[in-house]
Amino acid sequence: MTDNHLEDKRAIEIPRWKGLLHFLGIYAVIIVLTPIALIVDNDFLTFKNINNMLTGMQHLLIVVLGASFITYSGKMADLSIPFTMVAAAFASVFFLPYGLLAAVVAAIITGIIVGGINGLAIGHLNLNPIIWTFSMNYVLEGVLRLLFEGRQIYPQGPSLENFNAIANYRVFGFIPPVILLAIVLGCGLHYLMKHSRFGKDIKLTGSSEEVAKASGVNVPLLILKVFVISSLCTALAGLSSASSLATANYSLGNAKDFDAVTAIVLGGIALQGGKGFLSGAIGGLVLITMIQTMMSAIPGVNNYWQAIVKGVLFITVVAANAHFSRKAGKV
Amino acid sequence: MRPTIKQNKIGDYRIYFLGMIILILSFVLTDNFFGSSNIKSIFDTQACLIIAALGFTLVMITGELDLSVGSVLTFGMITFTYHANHYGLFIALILTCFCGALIGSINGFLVAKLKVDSFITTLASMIIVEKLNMIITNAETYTLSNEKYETTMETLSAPLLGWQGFFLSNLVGLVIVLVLLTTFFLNATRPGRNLYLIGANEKTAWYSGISSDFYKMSAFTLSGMMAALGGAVYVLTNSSVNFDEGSGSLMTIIAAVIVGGTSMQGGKGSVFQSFIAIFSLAALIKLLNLLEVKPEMITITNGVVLGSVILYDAYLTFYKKRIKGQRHELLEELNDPQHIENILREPEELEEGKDMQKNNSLMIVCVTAIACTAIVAMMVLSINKDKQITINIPTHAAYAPAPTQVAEQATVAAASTDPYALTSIDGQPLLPRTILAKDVPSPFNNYKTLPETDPNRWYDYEYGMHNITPRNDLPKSPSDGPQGKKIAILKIMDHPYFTAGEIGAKKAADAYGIELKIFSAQGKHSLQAQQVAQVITEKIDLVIIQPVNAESSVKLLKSLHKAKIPVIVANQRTTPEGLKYALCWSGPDDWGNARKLSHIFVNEMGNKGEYAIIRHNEGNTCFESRTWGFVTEIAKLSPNMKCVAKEATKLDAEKTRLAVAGWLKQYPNLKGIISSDDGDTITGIKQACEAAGKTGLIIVASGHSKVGMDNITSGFVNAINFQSAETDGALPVKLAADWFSGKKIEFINYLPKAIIKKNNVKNFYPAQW
Repeated sequence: MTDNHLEDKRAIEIPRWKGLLHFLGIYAVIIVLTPIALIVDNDFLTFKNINNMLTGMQHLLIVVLGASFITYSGKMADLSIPFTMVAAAFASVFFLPYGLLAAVVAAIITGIIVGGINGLAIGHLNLNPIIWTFSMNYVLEGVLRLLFEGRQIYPQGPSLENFNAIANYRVFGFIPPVILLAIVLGCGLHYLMKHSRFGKDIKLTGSSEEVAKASGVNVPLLILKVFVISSLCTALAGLSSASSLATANYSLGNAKDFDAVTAIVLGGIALQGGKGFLSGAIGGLVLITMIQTMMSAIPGVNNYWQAIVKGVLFITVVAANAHFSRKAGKV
Repeated sequence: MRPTIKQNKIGDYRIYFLGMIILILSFVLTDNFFGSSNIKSIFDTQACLIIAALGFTLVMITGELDLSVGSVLTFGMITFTYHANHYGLFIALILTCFCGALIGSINGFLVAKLKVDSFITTLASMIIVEKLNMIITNAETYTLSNEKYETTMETLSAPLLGWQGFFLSNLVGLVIVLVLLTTFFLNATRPGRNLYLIGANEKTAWYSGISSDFYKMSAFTLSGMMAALGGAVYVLTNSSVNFDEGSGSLMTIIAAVIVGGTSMQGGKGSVFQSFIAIFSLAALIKLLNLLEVKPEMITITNGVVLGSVILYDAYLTFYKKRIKGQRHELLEELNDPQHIENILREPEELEEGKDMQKNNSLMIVCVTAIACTAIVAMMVLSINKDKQITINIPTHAAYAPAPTQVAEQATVAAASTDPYALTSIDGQPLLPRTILAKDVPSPFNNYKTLPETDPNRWYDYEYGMHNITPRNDLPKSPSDGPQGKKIAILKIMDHPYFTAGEIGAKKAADAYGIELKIFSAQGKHSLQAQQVAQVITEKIDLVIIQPVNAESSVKLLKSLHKAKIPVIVANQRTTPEGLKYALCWSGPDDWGNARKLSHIFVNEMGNKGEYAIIRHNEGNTCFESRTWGFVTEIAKLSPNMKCVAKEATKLDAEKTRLAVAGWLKQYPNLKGIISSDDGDTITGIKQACEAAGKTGLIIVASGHSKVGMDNITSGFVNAINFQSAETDGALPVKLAADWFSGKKIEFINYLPKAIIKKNNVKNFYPAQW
């Protein structure tokens, strides 16, 4: 055994369990919560219930996958998610008579356009992301209501069956196809975030934009790409929402922006940027869905309390995060 | 050239320029913008926002954001109303300020002490307070009790210091005093100036001995307090409040404060400019309304204004950074062509100079181009309202031609045809020939003590409108026929149902030769109040109004009556007192429909079993009818059947799915579900049933949109009730036309009823909406 002083001189001795906790992140909370859920609701882990939960979170999952990039890059949040979803829903339903492929392409193009505008404004012109996306939301709403005269449109055409199947078919009886898409997308995006050069550049930009610029990262282009990715995912979520509701209406995306940010923050991706894992964001979403499902199984609790619990959870986690990072000296 | 200084001047005082431009435009483009009621109505509705904006500006000056102002505004309204009714004006005021300050201090604590980003904190508190509002009010409308406060409110609304015809009321005068006080505080006192320093450079402020934590907390506390105070002011001018009254105000406040020159990085701003900004933006929107611009354009305008202003701010920051450390004299020399010839030896410096110039002008060109395009697009789209940019939604063979074509056919067959021959898109007759009368039992008092399942408990809701005798001083009919008359329709909101109603109204109006002007209140009472004020200043022959808020609409009806404009109330309820001022009421018979549907439901359920109800939105007219109409009728027909659960799910598919999934677990014997709406709720129920593998539930729903009818065709839903959106819009127009011709009209006009089941659903395609 070599007498290696370096091996013994670990700066901080981290106890085994803390390391495990740190590794698991939000999943530790899920593991702790599962027995409680089982007590509240006896068949929490049955296929039926898992189908229930997966159905509920399928659209938001795709949104979260994309929106994590925005948070990871330090640009906090994208408040134009609701009407990007609606725009993509309208575009895809409008083009459905020309085929399913046309619908999907229409949604993708909508996502790219909106993401492009957002990314240019926030990346090149350095505008405040919250206020810009907030205004963008309003503008999108007005434009859509104008274009479609305030009506809602219904999917029609020869590909109607396939369109409906997007949200309603179940693989093996309990997995929605959107979840499969999310798994594939998630793997791809995780690789992008953690192992590619692009991802590392985002992490750097999130940690410190000045340093990133000085290191030669093309920050405006990077932010543009990040927003395009996010809006693309949001558009796909809009497409699947339209399929699920069998209509494209203006309230598809209500509150989806706040839900997405809550899931991301709960999952350990700090709002300042540069920290966290994509799997954390997914874990955050699973946690929220679990809590919602649990609460709806208790008689007498209506959906307002669910929203309050979400809000309180959100602010607790963020406050705790901020507090502990301050303590650790990394404000 | 010294671009910095000039730019700064314009940048700082831009709001005054903007305000002037808007005022000049309004003077030029309209003839009676400065009529006192226009300006007065602007001030009245914006007074509360002005106060909230004061607090918001304070927070922005310190460099933070406070997104919770909208929710705290509503919270202040609710608290003030409740306590004023129970304890008195003064105590209510103090309590409201205290509560607002409390919320603000929590925000401040989180931001200043725990160093949480202000956006996140206030976003979370906004959502939490919003939900709290809903829970506290239980979704009722809170009204300030008239007897106690009528005189106070009148004094407050009276013209300032008795100057008749002046456009400021006493209340607004008080608000302006508050604005001046705050401006004084900010500019002339040390704590005020410290706020600026903290926003500009926090580190320097800290080193100068200013406890920035304390100041930030105070700024948030003040912001919360002022938002709540603004809510109280709103109640004093409007007398009743819904739980979501302040929902759109966040956008207005943010836009106004930023347009008014407050920088988002902090350190710059002025409350007086915010005040001017709110007024100017409100005037701009009023101007657009007067120019008959479509309501969607106004939403876009909000966004575009905000977007262009922050673009300009960013450009300014960028520009400042670029010229930081430059020396103007040298730059001047470089730009002098004489000088350039003399220093031909150093081409790099020249190019640098030119580059900087080019970059600057590029930015200026970009910003100007975007702004110009936006304005031109707005004007073009607004003028083009007759030749609408319609999108012909490609239709499948089984579906009828696009609505615009049908409307044209109806117009072509216009004034000479019988209006009764008109049809809606689905082929059903547009106008009923006869109005079914309703059996009204005698009035019942002391109903509050009755159990909920007793129909008499809900007598006021169900029959309240029937026992009204209209006043005898309503306008008399001119008896010269409907041709050429102008009618204004004040819609409640932009929902596809009401859009279909608009189509029906247009068809009927074209048949009668009536000119229509349609406004949408976007679900906000304050907008509807402004629209009423606008309608009064124009030459409108009759108003059809869908009240946003039953209690608040009484004031609007009174003012229309004072202006001698006849009114028809449609689709939504108003209070019995308000209905006295109307010629008649027209709309769906929610209670009758619910009872009819209950018969079918009980039949299908075999007279026994447990059922649950998905309720409509709180505050909506059909909230009570589509719950208690069902419950009381089923209790009468079949006392064995038990309602085990009812929940309002905001008509959202996901929330409905969660609720129903929970019910399926808690009540395994659940046999049937009644839904107050047949759109997304049915989708939610279907998903929940499929996930749980539960089949054979008896489902009935109110309403007949395409989703509902498709589900009848597929067999998932057993029955829905027919409620023609187009007739809902066309019937008031017909009643107006009849009134113009001097014919007698019924006071309460219900839409035709029908039950749609699988055997007759084909007759109702294509769906109206």
